[in-house]
Amino acid sequence: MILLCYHYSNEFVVKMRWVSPHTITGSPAENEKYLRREYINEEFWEYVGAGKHILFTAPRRIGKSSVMKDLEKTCPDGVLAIYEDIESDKNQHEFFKRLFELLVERLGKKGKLKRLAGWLKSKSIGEVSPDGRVKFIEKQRDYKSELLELIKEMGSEQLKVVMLLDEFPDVLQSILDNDGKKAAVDTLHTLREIRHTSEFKNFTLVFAGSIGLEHVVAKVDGRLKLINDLEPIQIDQLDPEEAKDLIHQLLEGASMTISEEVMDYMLEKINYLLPYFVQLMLDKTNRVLRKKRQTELTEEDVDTAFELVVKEGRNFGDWEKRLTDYLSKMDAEFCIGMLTRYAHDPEYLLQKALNYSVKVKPDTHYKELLDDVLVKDGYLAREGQKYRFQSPFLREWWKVRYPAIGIDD
Amino acid sequence: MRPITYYQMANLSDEEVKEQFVVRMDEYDQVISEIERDRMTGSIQHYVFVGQRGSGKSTLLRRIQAEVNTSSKLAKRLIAINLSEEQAGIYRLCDLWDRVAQELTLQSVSVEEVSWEVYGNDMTAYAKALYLTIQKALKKHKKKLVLLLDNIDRIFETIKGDQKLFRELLINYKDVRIIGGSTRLSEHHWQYEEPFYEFFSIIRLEALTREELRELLEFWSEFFSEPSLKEFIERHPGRLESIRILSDGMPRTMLNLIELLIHEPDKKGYEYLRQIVDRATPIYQERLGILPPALQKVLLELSFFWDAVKVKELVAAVKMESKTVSAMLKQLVDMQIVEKLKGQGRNHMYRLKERFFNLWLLMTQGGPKQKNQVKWLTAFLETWYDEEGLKVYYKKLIGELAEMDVQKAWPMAKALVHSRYLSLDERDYLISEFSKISGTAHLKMSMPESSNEVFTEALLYAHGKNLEKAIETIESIEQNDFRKNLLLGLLSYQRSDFENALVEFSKAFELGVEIAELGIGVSYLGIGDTTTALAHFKNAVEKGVPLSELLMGRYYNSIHNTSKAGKYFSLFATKFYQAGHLDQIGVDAYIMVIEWWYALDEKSLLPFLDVAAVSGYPSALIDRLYVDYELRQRQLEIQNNDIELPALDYQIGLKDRCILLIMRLWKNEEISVDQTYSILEEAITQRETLMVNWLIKQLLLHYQVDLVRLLYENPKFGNKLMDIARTLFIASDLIESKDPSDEYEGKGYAPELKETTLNLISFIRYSRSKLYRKNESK
Repeated sequence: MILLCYHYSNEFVVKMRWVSPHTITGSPAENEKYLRREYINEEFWEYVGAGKHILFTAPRRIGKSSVMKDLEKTCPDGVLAIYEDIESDKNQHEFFKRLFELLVERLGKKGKLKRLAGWLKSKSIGEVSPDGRVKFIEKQRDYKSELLELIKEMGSEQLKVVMLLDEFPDVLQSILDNDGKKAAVDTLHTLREIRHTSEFKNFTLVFAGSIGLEHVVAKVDGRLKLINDLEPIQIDQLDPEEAKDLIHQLLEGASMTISEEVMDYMLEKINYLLPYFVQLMLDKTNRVLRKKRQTELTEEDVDTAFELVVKEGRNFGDWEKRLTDYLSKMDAEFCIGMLTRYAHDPEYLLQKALNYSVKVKPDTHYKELLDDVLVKDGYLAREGQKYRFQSPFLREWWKVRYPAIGIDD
Repeated sequence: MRPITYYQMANLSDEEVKEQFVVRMDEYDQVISEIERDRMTGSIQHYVFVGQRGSGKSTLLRRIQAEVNTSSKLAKRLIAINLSEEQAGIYRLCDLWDRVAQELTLQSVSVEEVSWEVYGNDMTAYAKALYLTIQKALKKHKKKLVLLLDNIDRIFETIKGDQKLFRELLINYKDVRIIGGSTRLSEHHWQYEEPFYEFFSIIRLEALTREELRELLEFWSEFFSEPSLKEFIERHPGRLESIRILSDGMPRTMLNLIELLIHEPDKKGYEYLRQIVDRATPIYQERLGILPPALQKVLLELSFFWDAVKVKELVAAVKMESKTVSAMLKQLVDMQIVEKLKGQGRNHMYRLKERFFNLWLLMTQGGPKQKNQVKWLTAFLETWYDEEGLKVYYKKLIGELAEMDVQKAWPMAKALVHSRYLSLDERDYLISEFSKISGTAHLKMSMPESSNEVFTEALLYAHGKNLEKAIETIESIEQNDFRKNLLLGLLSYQRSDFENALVEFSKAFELGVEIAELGIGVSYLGIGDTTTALAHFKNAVEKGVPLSELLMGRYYNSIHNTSKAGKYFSLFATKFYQAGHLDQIGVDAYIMVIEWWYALDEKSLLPFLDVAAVSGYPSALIDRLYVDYELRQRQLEIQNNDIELPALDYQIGLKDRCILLIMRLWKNEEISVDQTYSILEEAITQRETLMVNWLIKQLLLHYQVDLVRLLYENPKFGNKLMDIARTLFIASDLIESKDPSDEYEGKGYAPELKETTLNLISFIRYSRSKLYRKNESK
C-alpha cells in the first residue's frame, strides 16, 4: 500500500492509495483476469485433434467468450486459431465475406501469404504488399465459393485453422430474418459441407452463442440434422476450489484481503459459481471496503455487497423465457409455480410439490421436471429431498417477479 | 457572490477542473486507478456512472478527461475524447465514429477520411470502416482511446440497429475504453436479449454524504472568496443537513438551495419560494422531460400525494392497471427518482425520493386542487427552516400580515398553521390574525378552526357518544399541546382505553401540567394497578396539586374506608377555598379536568366554577354552565353577587356587554333586540368570530329562533354573519323540525356541513332538555 498526499484547498490530507483487484465485469476476461481451466482446453484440443467441430453451450455470462479467447491465445504449434465476435453480420453475404477476409488477413500475419499471393492476384481478389498486408479489391463477388476455394487452396499447407465464431446463432437469426429460410438453410449446409469434406479437413469450426444454436436451427429447418455432428462442450460453473483460485488471482497486489472463512462465506452466498458472479461480488466488495478504507473483508461487507448487486436489478428474464419457450404450456406453468414456491419458501416440501402437480397437471412427471429440467438447467440444486435455488441472485429476482400471492398449498 | 450554480465545469481548463474537483473522489479514484494500471492489452473494463441529473456525472467525466490530458504518464499512451456537448447529431454508430475522428484530428491524431458514398446505403459497413481508420490512426500514434460518453443511454437508443456492431468492435479490438454517464439503469438495451446486457461496470452516484457536502461547501467558500458560505456551514449544521435530505444529496440542487438561503433575508415568503422553484426549473424540467408520458403521469400523480403511498392508492389516481403501475414504479425506483419504503405487512410504500423535486412538481404541475393542499408546503418549511428559524419566520409573517395581499399570504399562513413547530397559541393567533384580512369566505374556509372551536366540536361529538370521532377531531391539530393531551386522555378514559389515556396524561405531565398526574392515577386505577395509582395520587397531594385530595377521598370512599375518605375530603375543601388565583395554564388545565370531572360527577363541578370564573375564564365557564339547571342557579348566584368577570384577551367592553346579554337570557329576563344587534355588529366588525358563534348558540338554546333569523337577514351585517356562522344558520332553520336529517337534504344545504350541523342541533336540544323541564317553553 502506498501513502499519497493530495493537495487541495490549502490542506494536506493523507489518503491511502487504494489498489483494486483485477476484476472485469462485462468484457470477456483475459490474462490475469481470467482463470484457465486446463481440462476445458485439453478436452477442446483433443476434440480438434480428432477432427471434431465444436459447439460451446452455456447461457450468457458463463464465460464462453473468455474461454474461446484463451483458446485462441494458447493454441498448439501448427495451428492457427482465429477468434472473432461476428454478431453484427446481417446476411449470408456479409457472413462469408467476413470469414473469407478474416482468414486471408490472419494467414498473412502467420506468414502464409506469399504462397497465396499468386492465387489472390489471379482471382483479382487483392494485392499482397511486401509487409504481408492484403489490399482487397472492392468488387461484387461470391464470397461463399471464394471461401471454399481458399480453404481448399490451403489444404496442402501443414497448418490447421480453427475458427472460433462467437455469437454465430445471432448471425444465423439475422440471415433468416433478412435473406429468408432458403439462405439460412444454405448457410448451414455450406458449413456442414466444410465439416464433412475431406478436402477441408484442416479447417475446424467452433460455434458459440448466448442464444441456443439448436433453437435457431430448429426454426430454420425444423430438425437438428444440420448441426448434429457438432461436438458439444458444456462449460460449467466453477467448483469452490477454482473459485478460490480465481479470487486469489484477482486479488494479486490489491489492497483488499479475504480470510479463508470469509471467502467460504462469500462463495456460499454466491452459490452459483459463475466466474461472472465471482468477479461481480469481488468488484462490489472492493467498493464497499474502499469506501470504508478498510482492507480486511468481513461477512457483513459481503452481505452489503450482495445487497448492492441485488439492488442493481440484474435481469434474469431469460431464465423465465427459456421455460416458456422450450416447455409445453402446462409444464412451464408447473416449473414457474415450483420456482416461485422455492423462492419464497426454502423449506418447501417435496410432498407439497406432488400435491401441486396434481393440481396443475403438467404433461411431464413432476419429478422429471424438477430433476431433468430445473436442476439440470441450473435453476435449482437438490439436497436430499429438498430443492433450493442455485443462484441467490436469481432467487431474489424471482421473488420480485413472482410475489407470494395466491400460494395456498 | 458569484452564482456558483451557473458555473459549468465543461468550460474550464483542465487545470481548473482538477483544482475544483473535490467530491466524488471515491468514484473518480476507482476508474482512474484502473485506467492508470491497465495497459488495455487484455480485457478492458468499461464503466457507466448512473445517477440523476445534477448528481455529478458530467463533472466526473470531465475530471477523468482532464487527468488523461495532463498526466504525462497517461497522455503518453492515451487520448481522451469527451462527447458531452456535441451529441445532438449522433443517431447512427457512424455518426459517433465520425465525431470521434474529427476530435482526434483536432488533437493532432489525424484520421484518414472515409467516403461514405462507397458504402451506398450500408451505414453499418461505413461505421466499421470508420472505426478501422480510427484504429489505424491510433496505432500510428501508439495511443489508445478513452471515450467519455455522457447520456450513453440516449446514444444507445439512437444507434439501436448498430448496437451489435458496437459491441463486436469493443470485443474484437482493444483500442477503446468507454466511460459513460446515464440517468437510467434498467433500460431495455441493458436487458438480457440486448447486446450490452451486463457489459459495463455500473457505478451508482448516490447522495453526497454529510462530509462530502461540507467539504464541497468549504471549498466553494474559499474558492469564491465567499466567507458567508463557510459561516453558514458553521452556524447551521442542522439546516445544512435538512437541505441535504430535501435535495436527496444531489449536488446541483443543493448548491441552488444553499445559495438562495444565504441571500434569504430580503425575500418574502411565498414569493421567495417561487423564486427558488424557478431556479430549480431547468434541472427538473429536463429530468421530467426524458420520461415517457406514461411514466410522467405516474410520477406526477405520486407527487400529488406528497407522502408515501401504496400501489393501490396510486392505481386509483392514475387509472391504470395495477400491474402496469407496479412496473412503472419499478422503473422509477431504478432511476432513483422514486424510493421504495417498507410499509406494513407485505405492501411497499412509494414516494418521490427528492422532496424538493416533489415540491417543484406540485408547484409547477399541480392543478388548483393540489396547490390547495399545503401539507407539502408545511413539510417544506419545516425542513427548510429548523424549529427556531420557523418561529422567526412566523413572527415576521405576523408582523407583515396586515399589509400583505391575502392571496399571497394564505398559502404560507396555512402552511404555518399546520406546522408542529408552532405552539397552539401561536397557531390560534395566526388563525385569528389571518381572519382579519381574509376577505372571501373561500380563503377563510381553507384555514382550520381555532383550537377552541376544535375542542368544542370534539366535545359535541363526545356528548353524542361518538368518542372516536371526538378523538379524531382533536388529532386534526398538529401542534403538541397539553390541552390536546389532556383532552385525548379524558376521551380515552371515557372509552375505557386506559392504556392510551395513560400515554396522553403522561405526555401532558411531561409538559409540566401537574394536574395530569391525577389522570395518570385514574388510568392506573382503570388498568387495575391500584398501588401505582395510589402512589401517583399521594405524590400529587404532596405537591399540592388541586383536586388530588378529592380523588384520594373518592378512592378511599370506594373501598369503604370512611375515615381516610373524610380526611381527604376535608383537606380538599380547605385547600380549595384557600386557593387564590391560577395562572393561564392552570386555568386551562382546570377547565379540562372540569369537563372530564363533569362526566363523572356533575355536582362536584360547582366549586371549580367559582375558581375558573374569578381566574378569568368566562367563555369556557359559561358555555358549559347551562347544561344543568342546578348549575344555572349557581351561575345566577355568581351574577347576583356581582362577581366581576375580567376578560383576559378580549376587549373588555364588548365582551362584558355580550356576557351581560347572555346572563339576561339565563335569568329569563327580557333582552333588547337593538342591543343584540349592536353587540353582534361590533363583534362581526372586530372579527370576534368565537364570540359571534357563542352568542348565536346561546340565543338558539334559549329558544330565540325568530331573533336569530332576523339577525341573519340584517341588511348591514347579515351576509357577513352568514360567512362566519353558516352552520348555526342552518341549525336555526332546522332546530324545530321533527327530522332535521331528512329535511337537511330537502333544503339543499351543503352536504359537507351536514354532520356538524346535526351534531350542533342535537347538542342544543340536549342542553335545552336539561335546562328547561319538559314541555316548558318560552
